[in-house]
Amino acid sequence: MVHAQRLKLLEAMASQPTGPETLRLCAAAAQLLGAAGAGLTIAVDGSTVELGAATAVGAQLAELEFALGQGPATTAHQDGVLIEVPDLALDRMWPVLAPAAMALDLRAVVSLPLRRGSIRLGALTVCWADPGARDDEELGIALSAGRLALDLVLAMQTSQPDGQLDEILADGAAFTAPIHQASGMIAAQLGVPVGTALTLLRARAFADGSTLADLATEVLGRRLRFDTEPGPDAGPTARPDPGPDIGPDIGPPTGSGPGPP
Amino acid sequence: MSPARTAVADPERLLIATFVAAADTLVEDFDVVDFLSTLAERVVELGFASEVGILLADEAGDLQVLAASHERTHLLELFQVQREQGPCQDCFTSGTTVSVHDLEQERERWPQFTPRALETGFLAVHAVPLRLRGTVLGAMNLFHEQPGGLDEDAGRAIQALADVATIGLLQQREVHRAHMVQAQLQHALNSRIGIEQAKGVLAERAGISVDDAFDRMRRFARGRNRKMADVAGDVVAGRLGTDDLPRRRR
Repeated sequence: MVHAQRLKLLEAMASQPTGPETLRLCAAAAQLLGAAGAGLTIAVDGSTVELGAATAVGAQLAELEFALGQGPATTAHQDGVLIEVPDLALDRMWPVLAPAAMALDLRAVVSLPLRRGSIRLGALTVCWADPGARDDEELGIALSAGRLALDLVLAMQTSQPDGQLDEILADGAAFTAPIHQASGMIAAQLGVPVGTALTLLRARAFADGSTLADLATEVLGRRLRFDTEPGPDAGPTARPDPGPDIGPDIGPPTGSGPGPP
Repeated sequence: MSPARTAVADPERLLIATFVAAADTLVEDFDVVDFLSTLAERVVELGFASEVGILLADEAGDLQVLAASHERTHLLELFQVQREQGPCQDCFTSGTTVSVHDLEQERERWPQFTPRALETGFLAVHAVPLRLRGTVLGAMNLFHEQPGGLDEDAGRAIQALADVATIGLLQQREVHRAHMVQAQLQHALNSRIGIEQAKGVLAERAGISVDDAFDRMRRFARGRNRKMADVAGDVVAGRLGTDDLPRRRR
């Protein structure tokens, strides 16, 4: 049974146009399940999810989830169990995400944690345009796709040298790069940790009803600042950051902290 | 620790519990030695042997004593490993069960092991391989204080226990490998995010583009032979400022 489902998936993957295996897996899962899209997300620090690969609609949902900091992949990853919402209109789990996902014409989602024992890497999320519960056969295929996704990610990353992210996974997560850059700028403007800066950026995007990506573009284009100072007039040597100041000359390489070597 | 040949009220339940424990290798605090020690004790409790020892091959392919139901068995197994001689060694090398119903008859086969086993008080021994298809991980030794073989049911149960133990061990190795990849993946992702954040921090402080910020950090990292991720971490934490990362001189 499990073997048969995996074979079906592999066949469907083989029939997809050439591309990264992760993307083909998402497309194959969506095709077999009659879904609008699917996305593979990888978790960072236990909560933030970064996109690994996704079909178009799958990516939209993943970006929404990244912007709002809540959603099926986050819940599936954190709880470590399959999450199924047959109708987003009736959902109480994600009060902010559910209506936003419905605005993307999505009504049902299933998310599988990429999990083996205590290992948790992220989630594979499949979404449908129409409401409805999945039957056993469909859940079986979805579970199989989740297992295959875990195997794929592990296999792709296994041969990487230390500190290097597999290129395909890095490409998949590239959309968050400007958002992290903008978070860095905001952190410098306000003298707050970058994590706080990302939260502020998310809050602003939500309040303005704009996307995180658009807002990040504004920040990076210096058309939007988060501090009260007017305009980007900081000179090349300006250091508004009130953090620890070691002075203009750095000593020998300090490793990662101010502690003893 | 239970003495040998303890009567068990419900052997079937104990057998099932052993299978469940063997299948439970995916839990976070799974410990190979605990697992194999429990297995050895259970085989004794179930009445399949007077005493049990379990050996696994290390990375170099040499057998190591991982568990024993009793200390004297532990010593006997160590002796086997050191002399590279005995039923367990043969079982591991051949990948097949070695059954000796009467050790007295096997003095020539293992001239060093046999007298030692008899001295310890064992008259029969069964060595069962822990193997899955071509992979032999080690062997389980069942020592008996009475001569004779295992009946068919006991033989099947022992083989099943050995198989489940093998699958558990293979799974655990896989999980261990996956853990290392997971840590590596998280590290790589965090480095990547940290570099993006640092670009933004430096771009803001120095009033330059993120591309120029990246360029400055990269030149600094190369010049000092430091990792980009570490330099980025210092920029984000404020340990490196704009003065430390000079612009390019052309």
